[in-house]
Amino acid sequence: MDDPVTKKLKSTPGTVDDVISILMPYVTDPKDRASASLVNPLWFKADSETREHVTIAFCYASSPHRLSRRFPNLRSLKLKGKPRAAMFNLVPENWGGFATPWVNEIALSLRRIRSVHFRRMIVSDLDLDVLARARGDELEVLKLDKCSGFSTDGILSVVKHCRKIKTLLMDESSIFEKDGKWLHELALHNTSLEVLNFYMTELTILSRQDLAMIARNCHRSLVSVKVGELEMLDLVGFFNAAVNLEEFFSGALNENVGDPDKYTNLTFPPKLCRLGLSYLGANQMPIVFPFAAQIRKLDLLYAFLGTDDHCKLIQKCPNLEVLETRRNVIGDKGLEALAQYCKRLKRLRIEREEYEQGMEDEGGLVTQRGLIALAQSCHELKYLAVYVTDITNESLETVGTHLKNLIDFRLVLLHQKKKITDLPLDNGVRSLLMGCKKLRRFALYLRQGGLTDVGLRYIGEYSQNVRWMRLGYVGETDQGLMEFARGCPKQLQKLEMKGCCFSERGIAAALMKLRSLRYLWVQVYGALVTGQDVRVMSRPYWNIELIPDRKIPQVDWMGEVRDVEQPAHILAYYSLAGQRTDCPPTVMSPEGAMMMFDDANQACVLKVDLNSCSGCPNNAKAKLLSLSGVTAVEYNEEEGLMTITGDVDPMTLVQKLTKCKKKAELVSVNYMPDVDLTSSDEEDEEDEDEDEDEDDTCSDDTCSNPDPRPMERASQVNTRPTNTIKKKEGMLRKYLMLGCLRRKPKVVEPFPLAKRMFGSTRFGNGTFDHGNARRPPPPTLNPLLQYQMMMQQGQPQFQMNGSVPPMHMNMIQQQQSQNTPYHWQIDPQYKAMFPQPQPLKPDPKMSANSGLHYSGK
Amino acid sequence: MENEKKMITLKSSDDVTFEVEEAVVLESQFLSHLVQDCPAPEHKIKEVTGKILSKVVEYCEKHVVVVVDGGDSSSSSGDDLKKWDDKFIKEMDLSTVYDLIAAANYLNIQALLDLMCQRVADVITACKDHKEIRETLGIVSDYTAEEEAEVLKENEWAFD
Repeated sequence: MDDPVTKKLKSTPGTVDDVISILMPYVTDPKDRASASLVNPLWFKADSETREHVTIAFCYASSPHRLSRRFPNLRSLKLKGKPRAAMFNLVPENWGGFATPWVNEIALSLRRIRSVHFRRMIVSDLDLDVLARARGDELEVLKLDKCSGFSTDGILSVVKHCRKIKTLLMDESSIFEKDGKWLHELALHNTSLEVLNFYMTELTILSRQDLAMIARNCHRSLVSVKVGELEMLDLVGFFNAAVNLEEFFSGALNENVGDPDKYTNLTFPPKLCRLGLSYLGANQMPIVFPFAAQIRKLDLLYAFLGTDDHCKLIQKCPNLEVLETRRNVIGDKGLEALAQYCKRLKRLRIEREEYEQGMEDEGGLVTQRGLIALAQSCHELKYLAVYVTDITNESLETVGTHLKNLIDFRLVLLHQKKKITDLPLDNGVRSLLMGCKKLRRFALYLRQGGLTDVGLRYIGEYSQNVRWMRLGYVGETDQGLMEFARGCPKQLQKLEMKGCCFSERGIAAALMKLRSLRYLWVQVYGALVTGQDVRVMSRPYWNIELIPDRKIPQVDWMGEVRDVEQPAHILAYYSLAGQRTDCPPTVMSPEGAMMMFDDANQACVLKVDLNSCSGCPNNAKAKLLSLSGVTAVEYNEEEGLMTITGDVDPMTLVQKLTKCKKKAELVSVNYMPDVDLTSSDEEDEEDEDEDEDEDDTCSDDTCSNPDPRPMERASQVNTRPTNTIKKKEGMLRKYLMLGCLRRKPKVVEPFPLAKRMFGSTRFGNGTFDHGNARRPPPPTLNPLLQYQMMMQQGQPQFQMNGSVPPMHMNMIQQQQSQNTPYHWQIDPQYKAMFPQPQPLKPDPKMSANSGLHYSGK
Repeated sequence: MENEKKMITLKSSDDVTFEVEEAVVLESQFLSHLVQDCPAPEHKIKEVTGKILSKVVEYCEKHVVVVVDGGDSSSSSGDDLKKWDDKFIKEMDLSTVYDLIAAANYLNIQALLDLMCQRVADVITACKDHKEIRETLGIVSDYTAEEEAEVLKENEWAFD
């Protein structure tokens, strides 16, 4: 009776603080919740206690513990791991993004979680087992979206322990398939399944009877099923039972010359309205016609339809809202058909053709013509991702004028046409951004000359609501980037750049202006780096990581394997969790890299003007020797060069001398590692593939579609004489970027990297079957190998560099009993806001977590 | 017919009395339990003032009438009710809304609670940041600068 709300009632008038805990659940948008939590501590508490869903866009931005401390009553969690580049095979498989610590936290502290969504993360069978046992029947949604590291055993655990699961999704995950028991278990015991999705996985041991049984047992609830390539005729029982099914992807239609009518009698569930059929050919298309009017979503990515077939089908689908297809089959004609018949279109995604041999059909190309038609008619478009072969300013303007609802726009200019009608696109881009005010996501991949610095400035100036931006091959100079940053996007949180000609200095400087930016990914364009520049980027909580350049064997459509040079990437992000400890050796954190130097073997050469008096050299030597870390100083009077050996920052040396009024200049820094140089950091078994990121990304492609002549610097890269040199330069670049050097050193030895742990990628096992080029590309890759290695090594991912492995449940429990409870380890600053019992013993981690984290020193 | 209905008297904390039909009282979970458990003709509600209770009674009476009348033509009466709700809420200042939220919560009248909370939630949603919320709702923050900075970082970098 005496809770504050009631008490306050008696003494009106009330204030909002009195009722905020009642009121907060009605504020649902995460943005509003974020604002609300900042109003005052009472509001913060109300938000903490009632927040039901959190998305963590990058799992290393925070720690599991912080999450559960702040939102103890969380119902639903979405977590993203690896950088998007992982989808294009640009990131080592073991890069990170382990689900383990999060699963443990859920098991221990988040006892209300009902929905878990991992994206691009490494999830082990043990993780799945821990999660399944901890949440049991309360787990309703499990999405393993583009994940890797688990097998069908893990899924079986989930199915066994979570009998009431409603959504089970493994879309595009790399799964090691041991057997089909999980599906059988699901069929036997689940009666409430709504969504079952293992689209684009390698799961093939699938009993038709089990699928039919699932459809029968869950006929009330089951609305969406996405499977692999199952012969449609085997699914007749399933279709008959799944009376409420609305979405189905993607059985396979196999044309049989002897029996052209074999699919004619196939009947689909009555409510089916979202559909993707693999290998749907023109001859089988009529099976869709009877219910075409109710189709809202159509995925033709893997259909065998030409431009005219597209037009024919589109005409019959007046209610189409979502269409995914390939760009060189739909063509301008197809877009015009869409404009004419599908006024309700909301999402359109036109992928590039995976393997375009012999498909060069002028009619199938998408250009400004189709784009203009589309923009003029489909005013409800929210999402538009297109690959075009030609483009004009006018077409972009038309988009800006008509598509006022556009939230996400992605345009990739393909390289096959040499001459583009109308470049640069500065004015078109400006009009588009000025017109589409709701734009949240914006991606632009052009080519050299596609967008000048002026255009880049426009992007900065007019994309005020854009949160995520991806730029490729745009702009001309650092100045342009600076202008971009100056205008820029108060909201911009995530920026990805590839193939742009900016220097590290330019990027670092621009970054200082982009105040809201929390995540930056840059694929360096082959340029050498002057280290101090990236150091400018350093600031509290800002972590910088490097994925070194490497060669990735790639299979082209002719079946030839060639190595494709992948330049280094820089990944930088804000983190409240400090430096991560699960980096594989192929990923450099600045601190890690610093530690890897054999300090005593570092020699800095300075040019010092000491000729003013004879005592000076000794004086200067003494001063330098007084610095900690310096082991020896030698002065060569003739050349005026001073060589300093020891573990010391070269700039400290220069500053020391400058302070003593000596003019000093850093000439070089030499590293003389005493270890052998034979180990390699090469990644093999990589293949490339690509796919989409439905909600935060996409049209990327140029990742795997390098423009042959995008920037002048390309030639520099390509003319490097030998691989060895390339590698050395790669190393050099790395260390330069880490801020170790000031100038291009004269001598830099490459550095041994620990052997890579296990094979690399989710996509492609290198055994690409090019005879099958029109088939969907093998979605995932070599799960077997990965899986076996993980199993053999326990959890090798954490042992790679001797860092502390995340603990599993049982370990944590042990620790709890000996030490302070896990959930008590919180930052002192933060603690005031949460009345919590004091830990019995202070945990050393506490102080470690609370300090500022300077990444680049 | 009117006369056959059972009347109940509600008395506010400041002794204002309201005579209402039993059906009106039943809108409130709390009061319906109270009426069932102790069938006295008058009930004192110590936690709610006369001003607020009058609003509660007004709201419940309106909703009871509409629900009873509108059994068959629900859509048009639903629209009317919505219009009435809008007007009801528009005339009210925020501090009354807060009191009504507290009262609706206490008396357990879900529809009224939803209506009032949504009203404030809409105000919050319309603000672009926490400073505007403070300004609009007249809230003084007692965050220390460090606390606020800490929350801000977490909001901006980690949790969406």
